[in-house]
Amino acid sequence: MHFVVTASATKTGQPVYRAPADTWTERFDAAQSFGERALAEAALEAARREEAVVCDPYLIDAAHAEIDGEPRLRPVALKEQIRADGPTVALP
Amino acid sequence: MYRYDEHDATIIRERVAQFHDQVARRLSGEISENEFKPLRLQNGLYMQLHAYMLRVAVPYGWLSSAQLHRLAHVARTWDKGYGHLSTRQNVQYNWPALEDVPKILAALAEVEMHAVQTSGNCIRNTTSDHFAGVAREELEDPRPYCELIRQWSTFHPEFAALPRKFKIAVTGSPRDRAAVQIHDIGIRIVENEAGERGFEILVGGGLGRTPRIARSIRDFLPKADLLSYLEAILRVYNEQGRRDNKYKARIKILVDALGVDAFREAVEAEWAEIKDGAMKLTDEELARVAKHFEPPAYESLEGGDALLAGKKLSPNRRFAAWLESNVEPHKVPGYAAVVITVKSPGRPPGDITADHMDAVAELAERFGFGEIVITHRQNLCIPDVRIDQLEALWAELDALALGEANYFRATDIIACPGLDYCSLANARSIPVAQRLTERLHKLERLEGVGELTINISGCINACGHHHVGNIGVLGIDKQGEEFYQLMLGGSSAEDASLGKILGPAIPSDEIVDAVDRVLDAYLSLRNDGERFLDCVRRVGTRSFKERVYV
Ligand code: SF4
Repeated sequence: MHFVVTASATKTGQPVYRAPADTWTERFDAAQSFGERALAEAALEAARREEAVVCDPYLIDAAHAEIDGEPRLRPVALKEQIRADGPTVALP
Repeated sequence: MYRYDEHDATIIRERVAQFHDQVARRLSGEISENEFKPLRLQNGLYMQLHAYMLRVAVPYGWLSSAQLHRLAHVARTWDKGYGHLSTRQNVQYNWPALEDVPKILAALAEVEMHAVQTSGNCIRNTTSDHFAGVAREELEDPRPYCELIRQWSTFHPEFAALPRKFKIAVTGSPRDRAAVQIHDIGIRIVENEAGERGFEILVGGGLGRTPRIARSIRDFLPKADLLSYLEAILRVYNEQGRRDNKYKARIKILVDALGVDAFREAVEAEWAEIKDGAMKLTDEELARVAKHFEPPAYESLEGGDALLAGKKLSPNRRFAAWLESNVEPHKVPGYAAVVITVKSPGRPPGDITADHMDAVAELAERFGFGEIVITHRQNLCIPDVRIDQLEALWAELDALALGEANYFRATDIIACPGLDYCSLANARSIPVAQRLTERLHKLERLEGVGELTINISGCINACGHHHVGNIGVLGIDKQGEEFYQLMLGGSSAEDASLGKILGPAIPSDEIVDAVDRVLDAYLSLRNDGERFLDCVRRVGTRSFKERVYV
């Protein structure tokens, strides 16, 4: 299991993911993943100090899945998949 | 409709300025999300899965065409070109950026709208019958009383931090289109034996984890005592309602815990202290508010019912079906009330584009008196249309793909945002509603099945009112997979009842077939002319279960 730090951007409420060099990305596939919970928790602690930029950071589970013939990291929970990809229904 | 006085306008302007400052402080990092959250919630701003969500209050669902045009402008300028009609007759925007919210609120304030008390543990928007003021069987227009409640409850200092949110609905008609029995307080306008008008007061209705049909605590309350009696109920609840567990904090739990008789006694004792005080409604005060709801300038028209009956024989089957399902008799001869269902294949229930908002606002000006009502079932209503203009109106609606003949039919589905938007969800609601609509939308099927409500919630919080759908669908999460529980026999009308679970939860890819089998079962079990709900009540759920779980 891998872990990713996520939060909602303060400006837009959009899901964002912790990326290398203490940055944030809107793309799940550009997120930094942690193989060990302790490392992920440390990253979460650091993210919590960025309250102006993001709201309510938390950890999510991620795992590799085969997508278009390639292994890609994906959120495990359906809710997090929808958060990462957007609504599953077309906007009107 | 009610127009702001200088006091209303000032308080809303000041509120916008205050929130503008709070947003600036949040964006600069001066205040944390924990500090900001209660402030944004007081201004109707939630955080959902993909973005902020702003809920705009529409008092008892009533809008002027200018307000609907402004809602369209907001959708186009600061959101993604659409809005969502909620079951509390409000409007929600799913994508506003935080820095734009004060601009949105300022634009809304210009047309006497706001987002105050659309969130948080306070008294929310009072809802009512979308045919208020025009329904033929109505005893009295409930809107003046809704407005009095709005004025009393807005910024009420004693009730700004209740144990939980609090919802009130009022109906002036014996036919209940406002779902008063599933509200914290339900109010019915009634007449006593002496022929005086007053209110029956019900308390403790609600859905969620502990669904309850409201219980009557007073058969007749004189009009003058409305606000003092509500104040007494709220005081008892505020003092004795639980605050240690949010799932046990609604008034229904307090009414259960005390018993309805003890609850009534507590309210009456509190009321005895305040009933003759400043909250007594004088005739002048009642008249002050009622004058905002005087009927528009109706014309004297001939041949109302006969004309409508004749039009239902139109060779245009779709128009005739629309008259049958979406057009309601009116108290003024020659007029009808029209429901525009915002439900059609491919469209999330209750989502309406900015272009459609503008178009409906224009139609309300041309064919009505410039008023539009948001209904509890996430539709729109133009309350005053001349019967001889119905065909022309329908043709324009049909050209906009808003002419579906499905009000209170199988595809007039209530669906909560579900897992596509809501962070509390277990499963998706909107795609299920869309798949059901795709399956059931053929006119023959809709007409064959007749009156039916399907309500879908994405979790036990029941924002989609699944307990009171004739068919209720509840999303559940089974080890990461979406499953759906079916309930039959619910109703939020005057014959309110809670649906009964039909059987084990059904996987997502089988739920549409299962609902289809429920409808087939109904068609084989019903007596002549028997509604779905009456059929379920007569034969029980077992006969359905045998045919659904094959
Ligand atoms: S019922 Fe549940 S999923 Fe649906 S909107 Fe309410 S909280 Fe969200």
